[in-house]
Amino acid sequence: MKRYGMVLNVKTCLGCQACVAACTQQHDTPFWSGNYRTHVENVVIGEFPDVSREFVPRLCMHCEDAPCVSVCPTGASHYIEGGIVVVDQETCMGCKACMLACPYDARYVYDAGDISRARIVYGPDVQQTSAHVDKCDFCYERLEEGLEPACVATCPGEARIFGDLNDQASRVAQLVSSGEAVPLAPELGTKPKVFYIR
Amino acid sequence: MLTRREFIEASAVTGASLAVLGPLEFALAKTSADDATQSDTSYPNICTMCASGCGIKVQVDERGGLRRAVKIDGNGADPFNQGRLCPRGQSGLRLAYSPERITRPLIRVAGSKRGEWRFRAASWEEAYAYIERRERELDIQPYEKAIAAGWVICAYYRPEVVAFAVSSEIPNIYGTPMQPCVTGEHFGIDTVTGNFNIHDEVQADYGNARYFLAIGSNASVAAISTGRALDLARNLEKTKVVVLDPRLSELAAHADTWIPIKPGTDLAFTLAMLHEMLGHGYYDAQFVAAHTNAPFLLDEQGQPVMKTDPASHMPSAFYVYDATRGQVVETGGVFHNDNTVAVDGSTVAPALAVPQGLLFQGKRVQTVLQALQQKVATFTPEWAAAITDVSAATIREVAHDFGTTRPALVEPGWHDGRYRNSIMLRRSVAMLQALVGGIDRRGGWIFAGEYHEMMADMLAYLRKGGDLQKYPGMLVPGIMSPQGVLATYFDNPQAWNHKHPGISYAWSEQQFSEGKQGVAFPLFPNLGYLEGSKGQVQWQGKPYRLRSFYMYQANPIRNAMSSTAWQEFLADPGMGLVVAIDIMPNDSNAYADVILPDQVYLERQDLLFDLGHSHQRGIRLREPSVTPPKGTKPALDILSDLAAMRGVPFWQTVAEFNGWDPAAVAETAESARRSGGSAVAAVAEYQIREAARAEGVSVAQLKRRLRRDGLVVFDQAEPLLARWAMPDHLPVPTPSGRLELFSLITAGFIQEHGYRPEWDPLIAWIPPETPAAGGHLAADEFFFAYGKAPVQSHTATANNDLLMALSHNYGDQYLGIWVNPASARRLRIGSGDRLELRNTATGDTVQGTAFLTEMVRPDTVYMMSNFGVHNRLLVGAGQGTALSQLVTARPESVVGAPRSGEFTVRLRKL
Ligand code: SF4
Ligand code: SF4
Ligand code: SF4
Repeated sequence: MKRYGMVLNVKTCLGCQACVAACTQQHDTPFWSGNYRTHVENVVIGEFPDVSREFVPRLCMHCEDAPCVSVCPTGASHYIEGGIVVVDQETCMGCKACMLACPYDARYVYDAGDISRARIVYGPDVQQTSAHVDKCDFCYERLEEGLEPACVATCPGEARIFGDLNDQASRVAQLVSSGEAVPLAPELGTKPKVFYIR
Repeated sequence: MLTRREFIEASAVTGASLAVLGPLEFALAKTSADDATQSDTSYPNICTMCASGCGIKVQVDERGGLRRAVKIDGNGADPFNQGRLCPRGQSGLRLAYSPERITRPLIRVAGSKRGEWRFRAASWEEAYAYIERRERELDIQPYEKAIAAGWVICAYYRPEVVAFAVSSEIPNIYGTPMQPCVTGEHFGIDTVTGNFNIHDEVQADYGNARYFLAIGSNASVAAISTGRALDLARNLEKTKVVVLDPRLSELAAHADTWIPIKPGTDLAFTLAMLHEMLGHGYYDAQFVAAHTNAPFLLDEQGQPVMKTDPASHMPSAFYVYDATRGQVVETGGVFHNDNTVAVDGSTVAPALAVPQGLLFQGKRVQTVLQALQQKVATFTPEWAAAITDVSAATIREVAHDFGTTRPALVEPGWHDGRYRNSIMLRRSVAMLQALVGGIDRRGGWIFAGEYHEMMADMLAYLRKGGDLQKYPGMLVPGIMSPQGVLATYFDNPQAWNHKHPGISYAWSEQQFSEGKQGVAFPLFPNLGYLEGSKGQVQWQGKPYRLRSFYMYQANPIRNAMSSTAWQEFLADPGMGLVVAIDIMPNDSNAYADVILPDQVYLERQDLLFDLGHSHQRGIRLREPSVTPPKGTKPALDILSDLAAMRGVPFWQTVAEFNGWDPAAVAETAESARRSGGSAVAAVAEYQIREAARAEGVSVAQLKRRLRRDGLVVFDQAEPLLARWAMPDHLPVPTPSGRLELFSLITAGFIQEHGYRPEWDPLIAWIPPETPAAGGHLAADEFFFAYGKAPVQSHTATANNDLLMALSHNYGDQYLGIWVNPASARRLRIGSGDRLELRNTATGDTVQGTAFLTEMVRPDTVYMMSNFGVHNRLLVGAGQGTALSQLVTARPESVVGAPRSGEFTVRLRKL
């Protein structure tokens, strides 16, 4: 069985947001409201001239013990093949329990106003058709086509590495098992499938 | 109804493997490739959100014969970007579907003022007729017209625009990216390597360097030119990265060593590097002796000892001291690449230093390298440390490591604040790269694939006894091409029936004759344009001014400096007609009388291009991936219409410039145009036929490959370098064919205009005209630096809702004025405070929002360029600060580049 995961290499992320632009258009997300499924944090530490700067891409961690899934009263938040956590936009009733439960702040509300604006911005075939809580789905539709997630495919820093954590030959599995890539705040106990090289 | 994912083409996956096939495999792969089912839901194209020209695949939704783009992906078949795209490239379709697109010809509403966005829709016929009538009524002469060509034109349509101007008797072209971009920086490199526009002629081999030194210039990696950023990112673990930048850029963030150098003093740093490298022998002596002009002999006056061909005025021999024979020997003249072979065919060991007191032809001589060594003798690390605010130990270490690590790479440069010393800085950078032997070799500066072929073709022509003067100008590689174009046309009154040179040349000559500062190499600048409108430029005793101005995707108010002067120039009642060819409203075309709607790159039919920034050789085709709005035309068809209306032999001239069959091309284009079709499409067909013939493949097959993959690679980089590396196997495109540590081009400027340090043929220190080189700043005074954000290119973000939203994700880091918190405290400036910035050199003022950050030197303020547009129709209107409003140009004297960084600002809290 596949267990999809992503490794983010902070050492090579250039903070360019190509990933954000790709994701936005892959999923018709509401950039006009400042909401994205993935974003990049710019972390600056120290005082001139001893100052360091890092870019940390963020997205849903696709936790194996996902509190968002367990609190969801409708089953809209659920696992699909490969351990991907998704939200079914038709089923979601917008109670936001998952947003409170998620310790990684990975979710946002795709509201009714966004839905009507999306039709204008993205055209009549827009994929987002009803208000819901939205988040990253590892581009599972692209995976079915044999493509990588949109953010991974476009990244000019090659900072996003995607694959099957159960396949020991995959780069993600190797980076994780070697300890080079580690989860963000593992103490939260949700068992993220997104890891970071710092 | 199909879901979007069903549109994803299977060939997006298979395409990648085809790219690696060479010419041999090309024939073998024929059946499998051609028989593959073509799923028409993803079309190749070339990104035009910046000048990198990445390969893209446009996913479309196709119905009722209309194609609409739904997502842009990287084209895996493109060897440059290798399937990846930057945020601008990803967001390209937002440009096509902007509600503010101009989709009909527009004519200014009678009674409205230029600058107001008040237009009425018109038919093409009406718009063309309006232009003709205005120019006739006002009796505007061809020499009173000018064409301002924007960066897209610079990147893709140089031959066509020059052909349009020349055939229309228009001696004025303003390449808006020229002074701020190509010549204002690259010209320094050109004087060493012979290049012209290094960001499509050189793709530094970031992926194979072991030491990488970047001096300012953040566009290549920090602001993401996709293929460049990708190659470096993949190599970050293995290469040592050293970044000189007054602010902690996206690249500096990943550096092993960040050196926050004082703005404007980079040249002192590189001079001290040269001092160290030459003094300690940190260079590749074999390469330098064989392939640069370092061993050439100079006389006591510092003039090269050489023979000149009386007919062509080109050097026919240079002299080197052969260490083996202990005597001076003749080595090849123009277009030779190897000093180890004498003119008589004998083997030479060219000495980099001659015995003391050596006399030749009765003169005391020494080598170029010896003269260079004397020049840099006083530029010690201690000297530089006092200027740059970088320790002498650090300078020594960088010089040592750069000079002794192989391969070592220095960033050629792309985008930076300009100083009087910027060209000399880039010249010194090219010298550094030449000294370590890193030219057209792995890990160094590698010329674009096509570039080698141009050189090989030209040499073959010359070896067969061809006359360089008759060789098609656009096929000459490198700096000699524009030099030839200037000398033949724009600086030559005799080339035109009206006997007027370009107004920039007239202005510059007038300056020199009045003993004022002129410009040695006015290559498509706007010099004299603004002065002319004030009656200050004369030609043959009569005032010379422009009365008709065509802006072809150009936005001089924002993309050149001196925004207020441009506004006045465009609004001037003496300006009879302003025409814009454009896609979207901007700050400049608001001043147009007529706007002709061009197409977005996704929709446009184009001519055949080469592979651009790639190391490979091949061709690319751009055909419409999506359906263009009805009322629009590809701009080359617009030029074609204008030319036809005036009976001008446009396509014939294009063909002559490109070395095509003029009669055949003119006929093809004209018949297509007359029958209401696209002249461009017809000429592209001609090019495909010619390419198929040259490569020995069938036209149908070539077309299928182009339509499916967007490009065909004919030569991979390795075999190409093995055959044609310059200077290892072919000369570089300098006058001597060698990498010129002594520049024959700038030596020519001395002959014409006398000596200035800016065109010292060796090297010279040019102090910035700021307190950086001595003196101190007032309490509220700062050095000024600017750069490019990854989401921005020229003003592309301002009319793109997604890119503008992404800009806001970084807030005032992108849109504000960077001030170090320690300095801000002193001035009681808080985060988010509104500030006034006053340029102390020009008095220009502009407002901005304080962004307090440790990422910038305490004595420097920094901002991103190209935000702060004004036109209210643009999504970016009023957001950020307009650089062009803070900077009145003040041209330097080599190419007339605006000194866009050479000033201090005073900050005032509002
Ligand atoms: S695209 Fe890659 S390099 Fe750019 S911000 Fe995203 S993760 Fe970082
Ligand atoms: S990161 Fe948040 S949204 Fe994603 S799976 Fe974990 S809890 Fe759920
Ligand atoms: S670097 Fe970005 S904007 Fe430039 S051509 Fe490539 S994808 Fe387009």
